[in-house]
Amino acid sequence: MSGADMTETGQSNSKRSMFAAIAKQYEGALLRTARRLCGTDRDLAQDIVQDTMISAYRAFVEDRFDGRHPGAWLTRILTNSFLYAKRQNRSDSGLDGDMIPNNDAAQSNWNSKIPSPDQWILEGTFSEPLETALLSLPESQRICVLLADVEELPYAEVAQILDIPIGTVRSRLARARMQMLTVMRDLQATEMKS
Amino acid sequence: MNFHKDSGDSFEPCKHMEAMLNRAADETAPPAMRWYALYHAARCTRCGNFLKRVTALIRQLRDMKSEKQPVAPDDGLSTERWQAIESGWTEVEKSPKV
Ligand SMILES: [Zn+2]
Repeated sequence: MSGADMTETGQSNSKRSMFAAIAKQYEGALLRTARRLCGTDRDLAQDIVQDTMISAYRAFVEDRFDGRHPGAWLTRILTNSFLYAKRQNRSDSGLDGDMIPNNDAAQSNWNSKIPSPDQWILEGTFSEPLETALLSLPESQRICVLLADVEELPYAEVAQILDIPIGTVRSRLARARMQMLTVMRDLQATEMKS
Repeated sequence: MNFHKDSGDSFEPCKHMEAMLNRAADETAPPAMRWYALYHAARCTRCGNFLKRVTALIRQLRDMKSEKQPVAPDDGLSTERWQAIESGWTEVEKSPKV
């Protein structure tokens, strides 16, 4: 092995161990976000975390990570992996993949993999009313809430990731929050009756 | 201007206020909009209820942030997944820079 090769190998080893530390630190958080995106499809959640870890490592070795806010950076990559997986799924089923980030209505096919909130409660996946309310949302609204309200990414960045105008981010959030409040009120009323 | 004065806990806001109340709640409203939203909410029962609830909801959602929550020791990727990821990383190292 030449000196240059040895230097390169040494660099990639140290990059790999640095990145492995980040990956381990955020493994649980990414998996949780992935489950919130994917519902009970745990395999899909694991698939997109795996894709995220590999795409992020590529960005890391190519110096495309600026060293700030690794959690937000990984969440962005995770969301893109999710949208990509969904697009693949759509194109496999003959639906137009380009429509996905912008289209509220054309979700039903992919969403058919996601069980209803009732099923979630039955399966005990998400027992909290807040999680149930979140999962009751149409996917396009749920992603906005996850990115903007839960992960606290700036609205402009959410708009950029989802390729939608910032006004659409705001209107989806408003609709989503209203629905969540209604679902939580109804759950509370049901609980009080029983 | 009309203000709802109903009693009870109805939280359906006045239609023209919903967007402004949301922006007041998530702290993205410019100062004048925030002032107007709070002024209206203080006088309108439904908008007041909505603002209270949506503010609490956003606070709860922010507390759900994945990084803020502890992870159970057994709640992670499987060993097989990690092996696949490690192989992926090796492929990345082999492939030339773009
Ligand atoms: Zn009002």
